[in-house]
Amino acid sequence: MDDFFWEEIERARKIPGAQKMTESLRLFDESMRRMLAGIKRQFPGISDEEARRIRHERLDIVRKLAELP
Amino acid sequence: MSAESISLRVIEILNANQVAYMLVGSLSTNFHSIVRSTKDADLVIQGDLGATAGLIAREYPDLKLDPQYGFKSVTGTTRLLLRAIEEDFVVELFGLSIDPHDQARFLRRIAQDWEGRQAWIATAEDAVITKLRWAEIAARHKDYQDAKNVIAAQQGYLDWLYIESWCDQHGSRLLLEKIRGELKNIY
Repeated sequence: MDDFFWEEIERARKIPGAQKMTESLRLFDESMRRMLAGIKRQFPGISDEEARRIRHERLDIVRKLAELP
Repeated sequence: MSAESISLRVIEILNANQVAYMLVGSLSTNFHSIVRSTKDADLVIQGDLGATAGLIAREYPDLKLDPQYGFKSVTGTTRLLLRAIEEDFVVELFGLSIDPHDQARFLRRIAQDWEGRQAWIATAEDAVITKLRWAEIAARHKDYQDAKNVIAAQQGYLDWLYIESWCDQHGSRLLLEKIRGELKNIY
C-alpha cells in the first residue's frame, strides 16, 4: 500500500464520522457548482436552466458509468 | 438548497414522523472511512416505502418523487427516488427487505448526532459486508475500494466473526481475504 493511502486513512481517523458525512455532501455541492461554471464557459450566453440540463445529462452518464464493473 | 440541507431535512422529517430508517451507501462509508463526494443519500426505510416517500415529498416539495418503483432481485429490495432537480441530488429510499442481512444490519444500526439531529447509520461491519456483497455480485471496483477503505480506517474496531460469517453466506469471503492481504501490515 502506498504512503498516500495511509496518510489519507490517518487523516480520516481523526475526523468525526458525522463531519465526514457533511463534508462528502459539500464536496458534491462544490463539484456541481464547478461543473455548472464549466458548462457556462463552454457555452457562453447559455441560460441557467439550459446549463443545468446539460449538467444533468452529463451527471447521468457519470452515474451510469459508476454502475459498471 | 444544498445536498447537505436536503439530506438533513429528510432526516428531520423521518425523525419527526417516527419512521425507522438507517443511512447506508456512500454516506455510511464516508462516516466510517475516507471523505468522498456523495452524489446521493441512500436510506433503508422500515414500513410502507411508498407512504414514507409520499410523506417526504409532501413535507419537502422541492424533492420530486419518481413514482416508478425500482427492484433489486438479489435482496428483494424495492426502491423509490426523490430528486432535487436544481441541485441534481438524489435521495434513494430502499424498503427494508426480508433478506437476512438486510434485517440484521437494520437491527445493528447506530444512532449518531449529525449537525444537531439524531441520525441512524449502518455499522462499519455492515458497510463492509454490503459493499463486498455488491463487489461480488456486480464486480464493481468502487464497492471493493469502499470496503477496503472502511476496513483500513476501522483498524482494531471491527467484529471479524460477524463480518466473516456474512461474507461466507454471501460468497464474498475471497474478496474479504484479498483486502486483508492487501492491508497485511495491519491484518
